Amino acid sequence: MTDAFTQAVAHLFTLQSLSYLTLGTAIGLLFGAIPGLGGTTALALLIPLTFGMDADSAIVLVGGIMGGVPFGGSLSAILLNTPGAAPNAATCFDGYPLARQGKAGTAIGAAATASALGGLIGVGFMLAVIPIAKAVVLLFGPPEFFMLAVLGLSAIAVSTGGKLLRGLISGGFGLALAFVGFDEVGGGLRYTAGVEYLWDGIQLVPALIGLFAIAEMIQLSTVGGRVASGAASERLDHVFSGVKALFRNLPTLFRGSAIGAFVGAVPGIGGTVASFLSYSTARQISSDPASFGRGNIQGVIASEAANNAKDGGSLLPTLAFGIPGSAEMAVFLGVLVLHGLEPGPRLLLENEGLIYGLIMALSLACVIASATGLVLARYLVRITRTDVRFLAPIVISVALIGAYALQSSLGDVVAAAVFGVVGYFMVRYDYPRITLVIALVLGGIAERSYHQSLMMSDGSHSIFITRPVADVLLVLVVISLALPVVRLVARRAAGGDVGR
Amino acid sequence: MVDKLLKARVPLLLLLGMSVFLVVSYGYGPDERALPVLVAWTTMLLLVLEVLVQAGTAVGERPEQPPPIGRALRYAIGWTGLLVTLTLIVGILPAVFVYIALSLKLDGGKPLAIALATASTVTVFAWLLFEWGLSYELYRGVFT
Repeated sequence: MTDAFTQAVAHLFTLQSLSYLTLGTAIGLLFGAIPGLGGTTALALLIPLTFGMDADSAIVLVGGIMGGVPFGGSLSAILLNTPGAAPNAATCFDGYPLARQGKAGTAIGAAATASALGGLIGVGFMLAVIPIAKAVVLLFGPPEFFMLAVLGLSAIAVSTGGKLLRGLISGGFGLALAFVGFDEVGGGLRYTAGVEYLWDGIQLVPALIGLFAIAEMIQLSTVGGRVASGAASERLDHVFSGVKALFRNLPTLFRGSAIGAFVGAVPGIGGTVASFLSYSTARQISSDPASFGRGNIQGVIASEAANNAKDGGSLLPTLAFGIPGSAEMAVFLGVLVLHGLEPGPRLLLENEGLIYGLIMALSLACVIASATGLVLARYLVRITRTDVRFLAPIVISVALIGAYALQSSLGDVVAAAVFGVVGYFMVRYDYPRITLVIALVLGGIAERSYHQSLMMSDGSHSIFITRPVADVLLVLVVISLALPVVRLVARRAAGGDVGR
Repeated sequence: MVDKLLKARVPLLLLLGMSVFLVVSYGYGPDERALPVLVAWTTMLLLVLEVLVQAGTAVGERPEQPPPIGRALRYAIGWTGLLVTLTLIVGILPAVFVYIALSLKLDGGKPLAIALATASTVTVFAWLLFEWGLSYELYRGVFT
């Protein structure tokens, strides 16, 4: 192990490798920041570039891209309420309100540091659990996936604070939308109304672009002015106040990183669930949950730590078992195969140096991306001071081009615009968008796991309560639903304002 | 009574939408509709509660209502609709150019030169990034 590690370090700290790493990180930042592109597109487009490289250099380039994408997405999420990729959506909830308060620098500082440290913790998690990974991953079957989806939905719904009822309603509509398209159980089409575009279901990225970017620009256009209502500070000390804020909230960082790494390691769940679950957990156990969604720095830290830690976690099933945990990992698997590396337990044994090289590249890329963000933050916050009459048409245009570029589909352009209008009205009538999004993500997983579980048990629902891991998740569901009720009763007993 | 129902028009509209979803769901087989039906009934129950809250009954206190939809909002949604329509007809890059130029000039009140310069910059950036850099072929419209 020591030899392999030393070789990996020696290879990474050469001029050539550092150049590839920096290039990869820059590409990752750019692709992460532009809605609709993201890591999967970046990796897919750059596969041909790695043809002529040796495997070590290709892995370094890919590691740089994967490390840069999450933080790139958080920049657009904070500054413009536009998540670069789906897992960045949770960053919008508190990052953008901070930007509107003129504290974009603080949010970027916290996001950058949380990204770097979250990425390192995720990689550390991967290294630590490799020996026991197989046993842990095999504990998760369809009933556990179903309970995990239910936990995700319940935790998010109750985290909407005083809007529990509307949060649940939004979640219901999100699930209904998730059922649209090809039905994996019956093999037929559902709820498509004869529209061919809907055969593949509602696409998540156009929905996110619409619900957040376009809806926000419509909202801003109606009132005019600037994103930041106050004077957005460009001073570096505000960026470093975000860095300091992270070190005052270390439990949030560690909890978010642990959630990200763990959820990332479960194939098929993905980074979106990780960041939303981390955000929701931070809110639920906060002493001031009402401040979330209004610019609480813990919301930014929780989602960004999980978003970056999930990469380390998701490498685990990809490398150790050849099971990609996400689309991005599936493309990454393609890069490995292209260079003659067969994923699976033997990869870990026979290419130890390569794996350490990837892990180090990923870690270093997180740090480079975050350092770049910290340096550029003072310039980036100027976006929030731009007249919205300039900003709105430009953001809407780039967002719709991004929606189209995802799969060259005009349907995605129309879908993004429709979700933009829907998102605007959700904001206007105070229905939380967060529960709709998470239900859209989890709906397919929940339904597939539900039917697989019933097939396993010959139709008996007892399978959901007779397996230890499912039981633990069930208890967490009950706790997450009971917590707001307990809080409400406690506040009533204290004679406080209970709201709706 | 009518006043109360009007106050709850948003959840009532959503209730109608979910009812349609439920009716359509019953057109599918038992396995295909199992979860959708459960979700639909649960959401409808929640919507009934929301209607009661919005109508200002004893169930809960009616939340603050948003201001009426104004001209600015109609413009904002109209502009987005214009961009999508132009995209479908003339293609993405020309649509982006026309949309940004018109929006800045007519809605933003910017000088024509500024509007054209901004529109050109964004269009060239989009072309450079997507078509030249990433080799995407952006949609060219119905006339090509």
